[in-house]
Amino acid sequence: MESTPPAIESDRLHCGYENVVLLKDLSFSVTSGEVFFIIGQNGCGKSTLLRHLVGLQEPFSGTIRYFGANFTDCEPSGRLELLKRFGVLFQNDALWSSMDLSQNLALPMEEHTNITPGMRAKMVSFKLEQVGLKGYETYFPRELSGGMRKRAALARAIALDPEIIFLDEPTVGLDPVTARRINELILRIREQLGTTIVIVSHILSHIFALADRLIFLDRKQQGVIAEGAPRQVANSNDDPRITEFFHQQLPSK
Amino acid sequence: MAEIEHRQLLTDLNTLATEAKEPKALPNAQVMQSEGQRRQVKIDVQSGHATLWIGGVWRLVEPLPDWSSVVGEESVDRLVVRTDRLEHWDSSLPLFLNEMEDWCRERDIDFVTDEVPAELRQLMSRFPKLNRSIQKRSEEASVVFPWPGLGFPTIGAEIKAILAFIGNTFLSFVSLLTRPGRFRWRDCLIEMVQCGPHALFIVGLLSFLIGGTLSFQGAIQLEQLGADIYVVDLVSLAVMREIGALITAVVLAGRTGAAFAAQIANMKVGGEIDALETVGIPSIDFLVLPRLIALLLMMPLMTLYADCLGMIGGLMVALSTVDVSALEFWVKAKALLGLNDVGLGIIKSIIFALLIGFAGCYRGFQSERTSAGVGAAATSAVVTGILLIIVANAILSPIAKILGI
Ligand SMILES: Nc1ncnc2c1ncn2[C@@H]1O[C@H](COP(=O)(O)OP(=O)(O)OP(=O)(O)O)[C@@H](O)[C@H]1O
Ligand SMILES: [Mg+2]
Repeated sequence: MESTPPAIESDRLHCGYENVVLLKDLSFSVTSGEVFFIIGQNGCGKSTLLRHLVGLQEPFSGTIRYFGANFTDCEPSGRLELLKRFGVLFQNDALWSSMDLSQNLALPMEEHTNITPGMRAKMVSFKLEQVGLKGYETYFPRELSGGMRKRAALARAIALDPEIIFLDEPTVGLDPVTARRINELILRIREQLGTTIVIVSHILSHIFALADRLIFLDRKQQGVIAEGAPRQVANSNDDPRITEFFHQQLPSK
Repeated sequence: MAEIEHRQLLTDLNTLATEAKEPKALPNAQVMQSEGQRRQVKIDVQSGHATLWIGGVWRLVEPLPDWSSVVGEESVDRLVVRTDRLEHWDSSLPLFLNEMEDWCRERDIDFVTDEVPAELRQLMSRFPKLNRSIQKRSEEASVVFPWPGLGFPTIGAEIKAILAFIGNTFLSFVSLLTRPGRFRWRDCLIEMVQCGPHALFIVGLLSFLIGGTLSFQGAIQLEQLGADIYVVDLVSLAVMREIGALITAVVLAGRTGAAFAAQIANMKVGGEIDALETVGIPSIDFLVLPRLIALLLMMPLMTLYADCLGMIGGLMVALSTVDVSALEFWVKAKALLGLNDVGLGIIKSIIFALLIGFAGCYRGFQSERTSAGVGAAATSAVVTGILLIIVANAILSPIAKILGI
């Protein structure tokens, strides 16, 4: 038992949609400052789990706790306080289409900080530069390519320097150079700010490069079938679903 | 060494390519030109034994032969498929053979495919046996409720949801009063331009024409009684108390209510509302309040404008149909109309603004996350909006009379 509570703690969570249960009895915890991966095949419920974690959907049962505070049965005001400390990147960028990139990034700051408009503009440029979109402040989401939108959404997710970042497939559709930059950015954020980072991804090299720990979800099992450090899960497991997943690009080492 | 091997490989590939091309290139070229060469389906029947000869080039994008016309009326108990002269085929041929097999099974005909290449036979068996009854049921299910958003079984739940929505909006408005700096004036202004200046032409035109029509009909009737001058009463009271507010509301329900619903529904489809919620911005504060307030501010102004144009329309027609001068019209109307008449129109317009705004935003939030859902949301926002307006008007007018307004 650690002395400080884990950043995220899921306790016997049941999640899914109206009449489909996707994940049953899901328990895991993420320690503060960890890069935590959620992996599994398409349709096993990774994005759904993220929706539950950020409170967009209520679980059938079970609780989610952040820093020891109950998130599932929490007053709206308490939930808002927690939400301020999150950053979320959705699988389909979900940028606000009626606003340009600078407004997209500035809106969370307007809501939750009291920095002046001038400072805000500086901050927006800084964040956009971090994801390699310097100079695109006045572009609307529809004027950007898919990979650029993904990066803009990432910039929005880290706009408030959140304590926990949820990233749903952050590097899908990015060219290899940009993808590596983004991975470096993720590690740098973790190092500098001690941010807890939860990532959904299928790209093995990124899993091995970034993950401290991961959980492997399975659709049939409706839950976790493996948990631990990536190498440990990949090498010391003879479940065919897992070996098959890691089979193709096991790094040479 | 490596280079020689490489060259060897290249020549091998080249010969392979030409070999592969040669037998195909010729018939292909012919197929393009003559319809008959394309594929061959021929049937020989001898005392109940049929042999089906299949040959030529089979492509899915070209019309498949009609199976029944090939078979004709022959009675057969055994059918052998031969593919000796087949040149090229894609999945259309296994599909065709599979259909044929189904057809034969239904009629207890032996379907013999021993002569068919193994890969073709294997592909044939990969097509599922269609269960036609299941397909039909799902089609029926989708047309059970042709009314978007007015399914009666869910009416209780819907009323609850609507009340919750209105309540939340009210709470959100109250919290806005404590932190007015947070209000999104920019969005509100954009919407005000949309439902004000951009709607001027259509609201003006409709009011003018309806004012004129009223005057025209009134004049015809009143002239028979020799009471021409009462056209002024008819037009001015009807326009101020009823028509002005109604026309504005109906036009804005169609323009603005539908736009609200479509915008919000589209944001829902794109996950933009989810993104708002996770940033901790209540979507009601962000989306509903600016729109509702824009409508509340613009509707009374638009109603006054519609009143004016309705009167002008009435005046124009009156001048040309009955024996009234513009001055008489003006004096009579001025004496007749009180602040209460204009006020009633304004009060109605505020109520209509609330109804249109709530209907539009609510339908938007309620929409399904599909492109069809966006369209349905817009449609049902207009239907709901106009329905509510007319019903509310039917209730408000007698109440105003009773209260002496
Ligand atoms: N709105 C919905 N209503 C009902 N079922 C849904 C809905 N959205 C998704 N599902 C189902 O939930 C399952 C999990 O979906 P989810 O998006 O969480 O998968 P995922 O693990 O993120 O997959 P991917 O790797 O493709 O992103 C899918 O099988 C899908 O059919
Ligand atoms: Mg997903």
